[in-house]
Amino acid sequence: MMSTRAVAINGLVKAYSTGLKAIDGVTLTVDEGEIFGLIGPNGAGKTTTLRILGTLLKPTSGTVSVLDHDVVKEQMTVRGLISYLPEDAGAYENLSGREYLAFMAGFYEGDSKKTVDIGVRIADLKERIDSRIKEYSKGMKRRLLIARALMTAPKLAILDEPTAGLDVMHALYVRERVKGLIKERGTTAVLSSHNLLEVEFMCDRVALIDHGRIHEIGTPSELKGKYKAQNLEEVFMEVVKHAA
Amino acid sequence: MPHELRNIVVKELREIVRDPRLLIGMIIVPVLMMPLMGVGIRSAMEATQVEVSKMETGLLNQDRTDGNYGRSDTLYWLMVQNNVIIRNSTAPDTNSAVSWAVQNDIGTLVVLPPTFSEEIDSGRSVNVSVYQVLSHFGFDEMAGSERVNMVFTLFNNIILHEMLGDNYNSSNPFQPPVPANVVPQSVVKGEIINVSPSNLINSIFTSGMLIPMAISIVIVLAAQLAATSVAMEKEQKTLEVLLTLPIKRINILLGKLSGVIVVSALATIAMLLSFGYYMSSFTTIGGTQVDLAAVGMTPDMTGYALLAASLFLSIISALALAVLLAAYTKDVRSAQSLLGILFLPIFLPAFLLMFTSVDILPGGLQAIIYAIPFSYPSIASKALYTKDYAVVALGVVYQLVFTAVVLFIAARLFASEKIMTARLKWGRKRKAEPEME
Repeated sequence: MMSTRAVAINGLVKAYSTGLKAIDGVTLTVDEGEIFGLIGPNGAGKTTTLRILGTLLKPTSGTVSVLDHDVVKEQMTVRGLISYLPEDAGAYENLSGREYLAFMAGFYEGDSKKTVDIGVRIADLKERIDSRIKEYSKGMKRRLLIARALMTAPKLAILDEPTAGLDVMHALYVRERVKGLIKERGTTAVLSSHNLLEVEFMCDRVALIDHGRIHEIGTPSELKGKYKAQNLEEVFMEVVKHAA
Repeated sequence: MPHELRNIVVKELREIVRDPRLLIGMIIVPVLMMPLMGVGIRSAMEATQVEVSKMETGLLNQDRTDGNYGRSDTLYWLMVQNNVIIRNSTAPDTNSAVSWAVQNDIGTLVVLPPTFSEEIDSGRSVNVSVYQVLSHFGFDEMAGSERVNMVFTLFNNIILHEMLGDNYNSSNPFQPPVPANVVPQSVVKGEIINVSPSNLINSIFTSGMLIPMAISIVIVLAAQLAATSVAMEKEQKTLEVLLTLPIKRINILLGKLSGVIVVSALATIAMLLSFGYYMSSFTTIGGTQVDLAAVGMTPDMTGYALLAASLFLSIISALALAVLLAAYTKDVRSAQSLLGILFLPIFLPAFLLMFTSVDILPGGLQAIIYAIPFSYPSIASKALYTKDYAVVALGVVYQLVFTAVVLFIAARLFASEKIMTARLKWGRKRKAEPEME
């Protein structure tokens, strides 16, 4: 059976009024059920790509669709299909973790209580789920946000640096939980990360992006094989060197 | 200065100088605010002086004592000498003369009784009613009757000097009664009120002077809440998530505004209650206070309804403007500073209208006051007493249009990517420059 395209990006360009091109002709597809990683140096265009996918920014040219719905023309439909987790995202500090999840669940159809229960299980913050978010550590906050992003069983999860700034324990928890849930629910995920070991562990395929252009796409093992590298870090260094 | 301290100070100064939002709110706006307020107040005072100099005084001279007009002639001469512009009334009685004064825009009316000269010549005191036509209860309206009072003081001094010769000493309290005893009266909406105009104006001023300032404070607090609400979403990076949820952007905007409106409404009620208590504490002070209700000057429901409508619309338009400004910042500190831009249009009308009326301001300043949507609650608070509701009603319509336009722009901003990317930059127009990754 042919897999369905969860994401289709074709000739995507994002230019700003300063003339700077953040994305310069990106074309890629992501299949349903796939975990797709965007890796690249700072300022490469990863977040901009994810923001366009998340309907926050509009493309200057090119097309982007999520499950055949155009992110510009069918914004509301796309927003119902996706769940976006920005890098360094915060939560409402004066709400408790449970209240935050309930607030977010309220925007989706279905049984809110059930959704919140799922979120509480994903976050796994035990009794601290009822504490004010301002009392959470960074790791706890990120777990709550990951739970928020995945509790509604989105068709596409867009995760920008899901484990950035977390300690080893929290990062490991988030990584395994995200991968497990996505695979278990058949969700598609597009994520960006600077942690190439994490990408290698989580992603089915990765794209190396630099200066707004895709330089390589493939499975981690394909890319390692192509560049005769031990890991994605070596692939990354080779690609960036050639791109420069 | 120790090296460490200097290091921190230099860093702080650099941050402030390089952040246009902080500079605008904390330096540029205050630098502009006081001179502009000064210009406004000076213009208002000049306009008042011009008004006073043009003010006519009506004179109904009923003095017919044995065909002798001597004392009233002296008074007339003194008025002319003191630059009082006199218009003689031929009205048959006081009420008709008052109506004549109202119709002919005459601010002050002096009514000399038939026995004026006779009583004075007999060494008795005679009551002279001086009517002041009040329209906007500004201090300029006291000037006409004050000038007439001054003329009567001179007149009495002359008469007493004439009667007592060298024995006259104006500072001696044991003098005979004053020859002409001025009985000040007020005319409001054509009706005579047996209350001195200065007492009436002072009573209205003390009971209403803080209303415009209180209103301004509520508007500023509401604007700060709205700006903080948006800026905090940006600072805490919760806005990005909110904008990707399956919810219409206009509902995000309206939801945010509604939350602030509820809090603002509570703040308004709390403030009105506290000011009500504050005002009530004035009534026992002095003894010059007038019971406004007893003289039929109580604000009516129409006045309150218009005040509430204009205040509500001012808050909404301030909130929408605050949200627009906050969209150009990325944290709460910058948003609060940038909000300083709104302080001038909020406080200038309130400050000016505390002391004067829009009607007597110069044309340009009038246009500015009418163009500022935040002026109307202050105008409405004055209309509580003047009952001139037409301007306030038109103002409410104007505020509705203004608010709708600002809300439309804010909604467009929320619906576009500019809510994510708009920033203020020095030396060029705003640019869409998001943080890139």
